[in-house]
Amino acid sequence: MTHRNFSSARLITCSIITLILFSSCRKEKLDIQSPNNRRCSTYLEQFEAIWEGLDHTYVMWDTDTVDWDARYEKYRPIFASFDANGVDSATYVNTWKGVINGLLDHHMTLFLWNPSEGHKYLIKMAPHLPSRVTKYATQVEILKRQSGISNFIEYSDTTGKYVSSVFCLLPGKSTGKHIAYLRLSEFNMSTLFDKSAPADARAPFRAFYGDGDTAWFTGVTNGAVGKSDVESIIIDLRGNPGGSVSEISPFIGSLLQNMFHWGYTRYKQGLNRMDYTVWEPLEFECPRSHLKEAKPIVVLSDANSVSCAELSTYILKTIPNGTFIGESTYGGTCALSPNTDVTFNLFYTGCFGDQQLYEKNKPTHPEDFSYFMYSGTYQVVTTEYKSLEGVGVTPDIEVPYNDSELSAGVDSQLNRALQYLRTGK
Amino acid sequence: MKKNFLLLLTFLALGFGLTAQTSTPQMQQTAGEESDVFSPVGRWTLGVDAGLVFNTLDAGTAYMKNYTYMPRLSFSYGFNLRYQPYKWLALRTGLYYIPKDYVLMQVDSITINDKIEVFARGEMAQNGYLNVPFMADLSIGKKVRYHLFLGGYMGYWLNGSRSGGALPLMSVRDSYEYSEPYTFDKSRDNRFDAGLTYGLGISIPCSKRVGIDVNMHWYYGLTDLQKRLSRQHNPQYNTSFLLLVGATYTL
Repeated sequence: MTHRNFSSARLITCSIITLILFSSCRKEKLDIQSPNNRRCSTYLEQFEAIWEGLDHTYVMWDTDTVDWDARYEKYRPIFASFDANGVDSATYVNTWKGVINGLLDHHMTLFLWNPSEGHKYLIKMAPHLPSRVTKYATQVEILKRQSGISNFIEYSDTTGKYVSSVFCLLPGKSTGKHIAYLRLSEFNMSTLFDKSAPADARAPFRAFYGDGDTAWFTGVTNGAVGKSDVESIIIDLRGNPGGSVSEISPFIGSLLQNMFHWGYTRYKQGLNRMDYTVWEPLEFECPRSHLKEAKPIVVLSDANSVSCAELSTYILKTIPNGTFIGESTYGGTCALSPNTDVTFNLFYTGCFGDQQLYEKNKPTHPEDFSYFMYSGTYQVVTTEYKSLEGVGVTPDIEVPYNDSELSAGVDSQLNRALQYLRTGK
Repeated sequence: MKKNFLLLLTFLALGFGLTAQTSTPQMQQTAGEESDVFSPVGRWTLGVDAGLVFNTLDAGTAYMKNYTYMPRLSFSYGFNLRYQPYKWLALRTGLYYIPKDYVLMQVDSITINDKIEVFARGEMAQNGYLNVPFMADLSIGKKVRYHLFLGGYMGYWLNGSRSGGALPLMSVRDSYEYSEPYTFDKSRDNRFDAGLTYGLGISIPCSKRVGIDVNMHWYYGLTDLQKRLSRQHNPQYNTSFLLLVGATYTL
């Protein structure tokens, strides 16, 4: 063998060995279990499952500032010690509060099952909603006493199945003109059109939008809002906790004149924290029989207006003929579906865990450390890509909730809305 | 970064280290070698080539059973420069535009109100890279020469776009279709690209200085497309197969 041939053989051999060695430099693929159907038999496994689940499905990682890895390092040994030494209920709950403390998602609620106690725990870290329930009934009573009010129709649900709503006409800017008022307790209006729903449950909606063909979703037909004597509109979403996102479009689209682009949405796409889909525009199409003429609209919302109510408030504030009066909304603007069969199992984002624990308060396997994480599926931002999560929608005209005034029979937020629509100021 | 630097050093060592072992190339030529018209020992050769690239994204999908990353065919082009210290060995580099595209498909079905609904979503990711290979080009043959390429490459993720279609989430459209530039995120995207390259080729002389090359190259990425942002990270790597046809000119 010549020196040159020896060199070339050595070179080829060295090169091939080098290539083989380097080709093993790729890191291993992440191999993890789905957090949606994971079974846990210890405190530590429950912690690992929820931590991992949020790590790759949480939709707010692009804006959240919580150091999630540090939470892992801090809390993993604590949960391991629970397995070794046991733990009392208060410590268990407080430890979990510490794990999710500060996460931005204002919908986030963690349902936990401790098999040793046979008890479900519910942990919510976002600020609690102000307790104003009885005062919302007071607001309706004050409305009833407004001078010049007519056509007052109220459906107050006592079954917990249907949406409560209020319709009336209030005196407008000039004689013979009216302000159409509609208030609804939540965005689950489709329940009103169930066969089982009482006919009077639909009455406020019928009065506002009209009979339509089959439902209010048809748009504005022969309802008050489309009549020439109605010059402006008040949509009252105070105390409205939200509901079905799909109802925003017909509810508001019926009052608009053109398709309206109001924001963007996206969700997780992949296992890494910053893996997202592209931003998809959020738009409304007006139903066939939409309101043909743009009328001034005031939306009333407060700190108890959440989720769909906030998004509706934002849209009504954004349209050229819309004004938001009241106080900043809650700040839970992610959209979500707790039905993991049609969300997590398709998109791998948002709520995950034992659906039965969430719906029926009993886990599928009572011997397991079961869990259900209720959190946003879709991120929603404005047309300027600004997230309202944890911030809420700020009013054009701020009128804070005033408990003592309400007790004295004065609804200053409603009064300001009436003043604005009657004077333009 | 340290790893990237080590990779660079290795490629340089593989390439230019060899030239250090070589004495003046012309001095080693034999009378027989001088008679070969297409073995320009001690000379530089310039080439241009273009062809097809077939890229695959290697990424884990774990429990995401409806995720499939599918390879995609694109068009690549570039030029190469080689220096031949020995008849059997050349050192080769160049500059190539290589689209490293792939398609993410999500196909699944769900049952809603006793009806089976099919859910389908696809997204084509187009990622343009500029790659600089450093290869040892080992060859045999008389007139037609057969090549084995071994080495590495470095590059830069130049541009990207995302296009696809999906069922609308909260929109009023029947479907949502999009095609938009990819927005790079400094905190997420790793635009430095490096890896191994190897391949086979044939060079056919047309005249004393001009020839035709047909090459197959594999670009085996060793740099993750994303930076590690959490303790649990799913790495993503490109593997590209190129089939290139080109012409060469020996200076």
